Amino acid sequence: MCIISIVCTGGYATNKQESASTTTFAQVIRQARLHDEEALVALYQRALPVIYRYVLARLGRPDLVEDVVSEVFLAMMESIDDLRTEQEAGFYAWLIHIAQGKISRTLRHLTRSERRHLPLPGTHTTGTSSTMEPMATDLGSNPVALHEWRETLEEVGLALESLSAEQQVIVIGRFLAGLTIEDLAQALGKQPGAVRVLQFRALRALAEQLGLARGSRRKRKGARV
Amino acid sequence: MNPEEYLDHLLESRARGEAQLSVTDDGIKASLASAEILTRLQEIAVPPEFASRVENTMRSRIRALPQHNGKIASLGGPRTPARSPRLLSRRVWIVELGIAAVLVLGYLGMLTAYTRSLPGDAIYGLKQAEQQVARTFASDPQYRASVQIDQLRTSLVDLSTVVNDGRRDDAIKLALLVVSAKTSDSLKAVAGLPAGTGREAAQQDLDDALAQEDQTLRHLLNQVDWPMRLAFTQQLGVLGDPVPTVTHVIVSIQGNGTLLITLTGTHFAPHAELIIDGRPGGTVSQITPQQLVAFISRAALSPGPHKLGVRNPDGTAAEIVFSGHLNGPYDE
Repeated sequence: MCIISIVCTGGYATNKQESASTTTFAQVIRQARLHDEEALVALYQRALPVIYRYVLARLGRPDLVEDVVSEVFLAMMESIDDLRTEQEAGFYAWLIHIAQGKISRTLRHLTRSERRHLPLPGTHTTGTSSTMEPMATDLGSNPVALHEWRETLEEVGLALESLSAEQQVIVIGRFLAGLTIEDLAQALGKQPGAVRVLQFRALRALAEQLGLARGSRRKRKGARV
Repeated sequence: MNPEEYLDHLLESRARGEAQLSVTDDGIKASLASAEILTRLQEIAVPPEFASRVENTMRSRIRALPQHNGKIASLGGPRTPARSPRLLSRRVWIVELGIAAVLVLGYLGMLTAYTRSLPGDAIYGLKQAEQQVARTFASDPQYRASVQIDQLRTSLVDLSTVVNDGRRDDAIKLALLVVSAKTSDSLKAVAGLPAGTGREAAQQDLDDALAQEDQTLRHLLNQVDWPMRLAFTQQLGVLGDPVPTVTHVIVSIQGNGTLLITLTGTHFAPHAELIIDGRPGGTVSQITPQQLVAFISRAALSPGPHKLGVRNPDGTAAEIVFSGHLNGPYDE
């Protein structure tokens, strides 16, 4: 149950919102630093969709994702005292940085072929029922769409890997967490113009990696513009 | 506009669902396409069982963490012999904890001070800055609207406090300006929400806050002086209340030497008073919702400009500047 509802208005926790609370994000961060259970859980609920999607995109394997995401949030809980910001964008940047460390460590333990092995529909690699279907929409009945989605996910993961840590924070903050350029500029201690340049370069690099740009190395099937 | 700004502009307009301009630059097209693919990641659902499992694990771990409730934990237990490394280490800890406690108390004191600060206080700017930060980092539009409405409520409490504390007019004026700004921002924030249950809930919350604002302003009307009363009335007008306005004044000399004052405007109520330079004056002889006619002795109105106004029995008021020219109409 999410008591601190103001930080629960987005993502997974939306349907758990109970009332229009007056609590601000900064207040929740302050409470979380005091190891307040509800505040920490509220932060978790707020950030879970973004971190889960980011880690899934980077690793491509639901069975590994759950371990990494759990580790990210346990690290968040244990090191919340180190968080120097009280702003949502700064919080996301910090959490993505933690996730990057966990992802890198996981990837070091896997060979490239292992990394991109996606379980087939109906199989469970860890014995849990939650490891298979990552899409909100039902793709299980459409094997072609499911296959294409997984290809896309794999390509996005590889493309994200080619970006710098800072560029990843920017694109994830922008397109998964819905942050503005100004939010990110303040969180990263940069001018908004500098963040726009980083965003521009990151999207160019992603387009290149995804085969969307003219003359790019790889050609992507069914790219939409 | 450089390419980085242009791309960001296109991304923003796409996010707002606005009509798209045709893009001819291949690089920009490709960047937009990669942004769209990233946005598709939002379709990934978090498995609910997994979310619950991690939450439960977190809760049990949190309960095992030391609770930092602002108090210094007691350093109990037997002391080790003097000069032992353990004692020295403990002393360092005590000093560090002491410094930390002072800093925490200082921070909490500062936090409390600016949270409770009022318009006109030296540190009120900090409170405004915190509110600005809260708004800036409210990424979700509904959350942003909720923050705006919450800040409107806070500004109403501040306004009541400055009036009840008997603060000077400049503090009251600033508090009212903040209320006015928060009202406008809240209306815009809710109007900008997409139609649906979220917007309905926000609209309901806003309606409650506006009703509270109306009630607060009306309650405070009789506790403030004339200039503030005029300002409060204007804000009530912004809320859609039928408040008086004065658009036109004529002062003419009568044969018996008295002055006939005719104020024209809107929402004049029965038993409204004529107000001359902030004080009641003259005798009202006739009143309609659009016109107030009153007599005063010529001696009561010295030559030169004056402020002539009307005050309704409910306390709302309006005024106009009279240039001092007799027998002629004066338009504001």
